[in-house]
Amino acid sequence: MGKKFRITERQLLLVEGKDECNFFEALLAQENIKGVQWIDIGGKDKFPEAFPQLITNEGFNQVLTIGLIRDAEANKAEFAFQSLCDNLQKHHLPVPSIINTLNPGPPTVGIFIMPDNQGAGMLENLCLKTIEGQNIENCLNDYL
Amino acid sequence: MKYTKLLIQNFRGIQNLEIKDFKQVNLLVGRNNCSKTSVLEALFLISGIGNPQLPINIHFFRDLSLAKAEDFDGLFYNLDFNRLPQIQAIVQEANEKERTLTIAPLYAKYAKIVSSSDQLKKEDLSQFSEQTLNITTSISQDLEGIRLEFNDDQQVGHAEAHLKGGQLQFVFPVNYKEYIRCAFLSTKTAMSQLDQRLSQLLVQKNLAPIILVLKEIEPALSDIRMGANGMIYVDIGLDKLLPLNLMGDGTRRLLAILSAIFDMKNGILLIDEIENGFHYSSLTTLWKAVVRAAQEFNVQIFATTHSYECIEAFAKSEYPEICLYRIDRTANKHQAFASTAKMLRVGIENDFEVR
Repeated sequence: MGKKFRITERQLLLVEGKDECNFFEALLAQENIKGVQWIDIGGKDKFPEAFPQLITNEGFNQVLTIGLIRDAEANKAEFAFQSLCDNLQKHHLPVPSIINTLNPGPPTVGIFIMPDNQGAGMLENLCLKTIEGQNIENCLNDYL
Repeated sequence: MKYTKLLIQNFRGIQNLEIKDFKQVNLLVGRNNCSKTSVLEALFLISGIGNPQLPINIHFFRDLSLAKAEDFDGLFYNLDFNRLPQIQAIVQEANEKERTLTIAPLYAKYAKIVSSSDQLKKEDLSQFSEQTLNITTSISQDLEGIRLEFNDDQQVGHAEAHLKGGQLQFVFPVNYKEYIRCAFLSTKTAMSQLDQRLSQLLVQKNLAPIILVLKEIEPALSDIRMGANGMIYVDIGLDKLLPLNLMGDGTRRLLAILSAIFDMKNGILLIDEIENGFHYSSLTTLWKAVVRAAQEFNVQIFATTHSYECIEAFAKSEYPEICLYRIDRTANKHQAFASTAKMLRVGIENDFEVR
């Protein structure tokens, strides 16, 4: 039996998938951002059960800030945003009025839809965009 | 019938706790001293609102001494007799009914006239100690026991438990008949009525489904019989029947739980530390059996556990009418967090701490 996930920080970053976990772990370390705990909460299929289970977790009532990050996938970002807002509302949590902004809280909640809070796509598209026109893009394309 | 909601106030260590949306099989978890057992005790008391013996029973389940009326203080929040415990529950039958139980200290009131000041001389006064030097009419309040005041769907009544000189006396309510059947399997009492319940099962020819379930723990077991001496024997294919007491803890505990479920048909069963006596590998069988029996005999189950394996096995039962409640106690504030069967399964898959 492995170590179980417990909420230990007051800032939570909820992402979908192991790759996203790895990405944000590396990003937070790179930016030297402390005090943020990230967790794979699953995509649109798992989220409706995993999210309420997470908020029953000991320590959730100490959380001050929640960031939710999800891929837009084939739809516009607004679809994923609305789906997350519905879930927050269902569980009596503050709902941000606009994508990519924070509501005043508590807890402060922000929803960010990859890759650009507007169109379709995913985190990987954002990663690719950051290296556009650089030498590394060619290396990556060769590898892929 | 089943409970759908419970509200506990000023009972044991709980100042205020509300639990809603109970299912047929309910598992309570939480840290030590979070009051899981107190929730079971509250359900026990509210299931027998007119029975003044029940507060004494729960006292003994916890091995507490009860020598004098002051020992009832354990029922009161912070041991304070001024904080009256109140338990409220919603019972769902054909329609919803509310029942309430309030426990109050019971004082023997008497007036003790010492004297009036003009009849006492100064020298007489000097004979009194400071404590007795109360020259007005004084009313002493001697605690004598507890009074249970109850209300069940517009029926009201009261009962009393007196403890004087080490002797318990009860006053039962007039014209109140309890319609809820409820039993409490504490770690101390789990096995106490096994013989009686088993003989009932034998007479009513209801052992077959229980033997079937027990075979999952002990595949060689084919029959259970009662000896002339009142002892229970099991047939495990030996030349002779084997006394049940020689079987492992798990088999005996499961038999005790299943026979109690049968005994509480259409009622309530409370099980403290349900995992006790079971190897972790048997816990899936335990829950499978408990859930199946609860459905078959229409019994609502409330159990507690500390064991993660027990929760995992509970989640595997694949019955939608289960719920896990994590009782949280932070800075003396109690809260219950519910996880439905689906939530629990996803939480376990995601490796969340659900206890």
